[in-house]
Amino acid sequence: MIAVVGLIVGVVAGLLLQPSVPAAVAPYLPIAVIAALDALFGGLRAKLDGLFDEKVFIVSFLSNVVVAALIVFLGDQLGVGSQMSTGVVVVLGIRIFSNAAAIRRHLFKA
Amino acid sequence: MADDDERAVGPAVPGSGAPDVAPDGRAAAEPDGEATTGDGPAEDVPTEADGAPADVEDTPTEVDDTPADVEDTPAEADDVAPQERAPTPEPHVGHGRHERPAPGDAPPGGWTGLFRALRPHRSRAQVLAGLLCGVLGFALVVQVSANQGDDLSTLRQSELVPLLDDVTQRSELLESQVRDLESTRDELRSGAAGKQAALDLAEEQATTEGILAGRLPAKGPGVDVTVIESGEKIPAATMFNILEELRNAGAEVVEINGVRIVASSYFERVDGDLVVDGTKISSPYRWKAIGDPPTLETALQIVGGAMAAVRNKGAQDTIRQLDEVEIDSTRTPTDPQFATPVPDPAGS
Repeated sequence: MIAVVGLIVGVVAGLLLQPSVPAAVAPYLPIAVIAALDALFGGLRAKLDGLFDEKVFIVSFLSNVVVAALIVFLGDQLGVGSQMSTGVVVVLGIRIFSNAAAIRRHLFKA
Repeated sequence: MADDDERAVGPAVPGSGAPDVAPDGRAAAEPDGEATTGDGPAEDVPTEADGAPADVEDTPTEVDDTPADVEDTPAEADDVAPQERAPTPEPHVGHGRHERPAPGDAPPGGWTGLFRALRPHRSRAQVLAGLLCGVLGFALVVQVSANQGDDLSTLRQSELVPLLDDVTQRSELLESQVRDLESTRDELRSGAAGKQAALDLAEEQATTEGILAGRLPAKGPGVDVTVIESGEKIPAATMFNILEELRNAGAEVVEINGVRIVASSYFERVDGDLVVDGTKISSPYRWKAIGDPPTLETALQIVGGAMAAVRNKGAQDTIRQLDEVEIDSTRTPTDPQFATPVPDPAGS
């Protein structure tokens, strides 16, 4: 519940403040957002599995974000930044899909 | 897709016999791993089978499977499930940091599980998770709004350079097109100007020739000559003399009693009536001529000239020099019947 409230508060704050993305983090923000979404879905699924642990969620959330951004940063340094971000997005997308499928199975039994 | 594979594998595990379970479980997990991240889906496999209430009959297998997974657990910090699940079947394997999951709490599932998850219970970790979710929502909105703005600002240098090249090439192409079109336009414009000049010249010539050929009305300085017969008729030759004198003096346009005199004009007497170019005219004869008035009058008054001959026949004559003589009568030139123009040797 607190998480949902936090999500809503964050969205509202983003809408109200309309901050501009600094150029330095512009390539990493979308990847970090995708990674965080993956962690969020994983956490929701673990919750439904009854296996949720806040500490794990927080650590996985942060490490997901950091690792995803780091991979893209590394790719940028190596000159394959766009391919790397594509790869990360594909991987995270697959994970989000499988998590969403598990959640769906929990909620709809189908 | 990965889930379907996993479901197919699940029932197959018990059939393969108890001793082989652990290796088999690894083997089942591995192909999925190759399809995605390596170890990501491998962690997912047991979780889903465990969590889905429909797979209850698989549970013993899963329990046997667990030790194989536990080895991976420390490395998989981002996946909640294996760590959570590990203590459940074999509490002695626990890593010492999971105190919460009770065996009865394991499969809440469905909407009740969701509602239970949403039920607020405050703890430091919950608040922190909420905070992270807030950050996520914030970043999400920021990214979306940044993406809706100018999308170039989010591009990398390596993506911008070809874009710039593209734009430069395109602008060069367009510029060359502009040059081509401008030169075409200039050509057309000068062509039109030339055509206009030719048209003006032709019109001017047409005007000049129209006046000289009697096709157009004309006005200008000249003389007005009135000849009144008294008794004796003036012979046609005498009238023609007057015309010749006027022409010699440089008269450009000549008219007598409303008949425009042209190159082919003639005078004759038909049954005592004077006929000019087929038109019968009678006294008083009124000449109008456009030319230099003093020259014209001098030419007519010359001793032994046209006017002298007229006076010899007893007629009266008046000559007036005018600043403006207007000659409205015209003549439509007939097309030459025999003559054709000689082609211009210059060829222009």
